[in-house]
Amino acid sequence: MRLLPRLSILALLICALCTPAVSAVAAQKEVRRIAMILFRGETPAEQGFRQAVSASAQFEPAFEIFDAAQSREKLGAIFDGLDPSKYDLIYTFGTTVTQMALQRIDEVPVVFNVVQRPIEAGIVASWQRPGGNATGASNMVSSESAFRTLALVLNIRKLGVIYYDKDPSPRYQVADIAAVQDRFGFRMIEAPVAGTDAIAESLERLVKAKVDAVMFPSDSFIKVHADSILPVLNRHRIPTIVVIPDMVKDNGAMLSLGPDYFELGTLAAQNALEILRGASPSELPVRRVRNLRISLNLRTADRLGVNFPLQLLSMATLIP
Amino acid sequence: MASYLSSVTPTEIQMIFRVFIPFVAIAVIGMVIGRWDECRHQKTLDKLLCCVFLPCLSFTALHRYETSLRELLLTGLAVLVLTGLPPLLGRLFAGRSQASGVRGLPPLFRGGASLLLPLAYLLFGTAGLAKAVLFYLFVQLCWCTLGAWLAGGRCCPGSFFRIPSLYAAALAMMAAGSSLRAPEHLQEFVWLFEKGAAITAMGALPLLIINFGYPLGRIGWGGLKELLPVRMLGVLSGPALAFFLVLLYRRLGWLEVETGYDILSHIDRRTTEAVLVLGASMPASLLAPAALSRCWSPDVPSRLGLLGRVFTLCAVLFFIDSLIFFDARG
Repeated sequence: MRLLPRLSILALLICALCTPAVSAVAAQKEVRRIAMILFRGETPAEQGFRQAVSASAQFEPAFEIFDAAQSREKLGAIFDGLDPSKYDLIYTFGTTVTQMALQRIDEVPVVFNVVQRPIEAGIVASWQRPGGNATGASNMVSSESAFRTLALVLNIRKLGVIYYDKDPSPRYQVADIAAVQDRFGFRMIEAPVAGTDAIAESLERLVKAKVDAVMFPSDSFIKVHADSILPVLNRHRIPTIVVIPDMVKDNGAMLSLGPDYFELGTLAAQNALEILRGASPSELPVRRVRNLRISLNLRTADRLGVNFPLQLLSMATLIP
Repeated sequence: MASYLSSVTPTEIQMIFRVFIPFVAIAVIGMVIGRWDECRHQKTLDKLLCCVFLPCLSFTALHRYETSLRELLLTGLAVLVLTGLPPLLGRLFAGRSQASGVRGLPPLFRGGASLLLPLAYLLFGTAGLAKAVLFYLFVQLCWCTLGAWLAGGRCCPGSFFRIPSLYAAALAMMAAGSSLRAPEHLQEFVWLFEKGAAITAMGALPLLIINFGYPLGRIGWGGLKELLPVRMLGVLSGPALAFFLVLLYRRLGWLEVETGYDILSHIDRRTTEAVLVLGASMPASLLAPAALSRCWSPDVPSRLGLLGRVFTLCAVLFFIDSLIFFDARG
């Protein structure tokens, strides 16, 4: 009977000793509110971002997610209803969302992710010193690199490029491809898509032109409609190269060259944490991944009768 | 080492066998044809390859390939070491009086290098083929200079300039390096020409393998005694020397190991290494030391020895995949 009071005293002592430590940790972690404005749902980039920010010993992030579900109208509505002053940081996905965010938000720091051409899109002044209230991570891949990857596998004479013509971002990439066509001796066949209804027409144009391969710039609209584009090209045995790695696994594109989205999210989080610690976004360089990755879809390649060389098979992520 | 070898994925193993099985099958077809017609058409086959198919292959491989001076120097130096060092060492150890085996070396250099072309294309694609063509041309240069000197005591660089592939390669490199573009109305013709050359080039690949198998129909099996031990040394010395050379290049920073941002440059450097090792594993380089040690005469090759070489080549491919390409695996 005398044991119970002793144990109770011991338990009370342990609680008393631990409580300050726990409360100290809690006190160290400052709550920060982050609005995440997405265009096509959560991708590995957002997972990487959230994971890296949550792992911070200094901050307790409270994320609020707004998804435009691939609709510009809905995106506009999100911004109309958004009170930026409620947040310590705004995270944006893609060029369109970031541009719209910068038009409406100028006092709260914006951390963008998956923006191919931040300078050309008017988002930052330079890679090293963004200048405004936005910085982040870019998924920039030069079109020349993408073409060189494709040329490892195929001899290309006519290269089709399919993109959403209302989005400015893919246009920069298309201009890049056009600039290297003489050097690499191929002819670019453009297939701009004006909307969902025009996809079939653009695809027909590419098939009729007998292109040797089709390149997809980083384009959210095309990614969203990939399931109605890629099967058609695969059926016509036209190889495809994409910049968004998910399209190889999810939609059956043959080959991708681009950064790992999860890693991109981690890089954007590093900038976000710096900002939360007090750094100015205008001084934080736009980050890029340390190296690009190649993914190959073996099933699609088999269907198209394409053989990957050994060095590609060895160094790429293989999707069976 | 075990972890390196286990890094070879089933897809890569499948790919290696996918290349090897048709390669051996085509060589056997060539062997059967050679045995059947007693190699009466060897000269015609050689001429066709030398004057038509190889120039087309060289042009197709290089006309869209950006050849850098650095790559030319690295390949040239490697070829010089790989094909020149073993015979010179052999000559040094065997002495001038035992130079009878040396006479067989130049044709071996030449035949081995051309065999590299189809293998490099099948394994490493168009980039591999372009690098293999450069390797092949440097071997030809070595053959006409060092090889001729070893065999006859004097160089004949003039014969190098009579090789049609050299001019096809030079034309292709000029086309790749120039910013000139054909007028719009001529472009279809240019493309037709390119396509014609490409079709002929693709025809060159099986023909080269057939040409390799063609004379094999007339050679004997040889004995196990012949295979060991000097021959084994000869078989292994080529790839071993090439691996050593690759490590040296890496150590000197001439072929950087760091992946860097542009994975394509990394892949390009690893492909260069792979082609150098593959080139060194071809019969030409393999037989040189054995020939010079007088344990084997290049005039009397044996099928058993050849079989040994095929297995070595297969092993070399696994080593290329596991040791050279390993670093870049994610």
